[in-house]
Amino acid sequence: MVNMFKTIEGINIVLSNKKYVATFAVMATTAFIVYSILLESSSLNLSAQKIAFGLDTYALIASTALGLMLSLSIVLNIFAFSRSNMRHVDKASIGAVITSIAPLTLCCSTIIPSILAAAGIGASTVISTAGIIEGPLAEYEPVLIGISFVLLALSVYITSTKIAKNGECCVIKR
Amino acid sequence: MVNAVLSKGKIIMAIFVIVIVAVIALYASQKIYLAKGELNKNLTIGDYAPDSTFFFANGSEANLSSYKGHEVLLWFVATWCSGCAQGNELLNSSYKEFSEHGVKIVELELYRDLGYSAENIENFVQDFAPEAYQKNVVIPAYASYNMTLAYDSQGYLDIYYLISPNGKILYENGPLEATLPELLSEINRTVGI
Repeated sequence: MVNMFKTIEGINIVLSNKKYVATFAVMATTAFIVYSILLESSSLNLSAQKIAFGLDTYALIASTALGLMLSLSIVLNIFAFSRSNMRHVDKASIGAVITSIAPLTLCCSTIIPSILAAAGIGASTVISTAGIIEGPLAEYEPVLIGISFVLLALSVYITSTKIAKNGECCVIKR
Repeated sequence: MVNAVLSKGKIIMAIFVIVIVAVIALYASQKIYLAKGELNKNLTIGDYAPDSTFFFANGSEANLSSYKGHEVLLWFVATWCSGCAQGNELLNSSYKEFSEHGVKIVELELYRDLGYSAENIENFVQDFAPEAYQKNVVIPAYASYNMTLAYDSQGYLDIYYLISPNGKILYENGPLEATLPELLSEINRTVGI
């Protein structure tokens, strides 16, 4: 049974601290910009103007949702790790963070071809294999975004519930 | 061990920052690379474009030399690439600027869609640039292996070359969707050369 009250309580505990609010704001902004670039596909050009004015509705919603959820997940985990009674590595959270970043960075840009070339793979192999990696990621991009969002939401739920149960206690002194 | 446990939050933060910085650095490096006009180290502006073979949906083949006397845009796409679809949509609303200057656009599906086949190029163009296709401004075709290797050995998506009537490369860039104004300005500048 999902306990939304515990989730909100956990998030409140973390975001009542200005340091974590600032971290969250910086991360959310950065993540939004990066997701925007990646979701605009095939973007050989890095254009601030495009990010500001050229995003379509799909990219805008997905970038905002993933950016906020990714940042919240990371900030909650940082908070949890800083408490001595919540030091366990939350593998689900790490998995969610990686899942939410990896697929979108691999599709429809120069990244895969550049990585293949940097790895010393010949041109004939690159032109016959780059699509094998990028193609499915492009075709199933909305599904991957959905999965990433669900995983991040799960990570936020698990971590915030853990924080709510433990409260403000046990800050590690250095 | 204790220190290692205590720094896990920082490790996650560091991973996040490294990933973000790496992604931005890769894009920025490509931006710089393109700004130098070096899509392809073997083909630079002013070179004669390789007279490679490409194929139409009906199986007939053609060469770049078949278009001698016309300014031609060779545009390399993959049909699973959403940016390429957006480029077609944009082209559909601005194809007149190409036809007014007599520029033919040969839209080429990269060899076997770079290893992941999706829609065929003819349907792709009809779906996303129907008017430009009907007016015969955009001609869908399949790049041969040798053509893909000659023009796009790095396997980039959505790149193009503007070729002069005598077969020289006038301009190269990509993706079309993001660089159309620059391309049109180049066409205005070079028409008649």
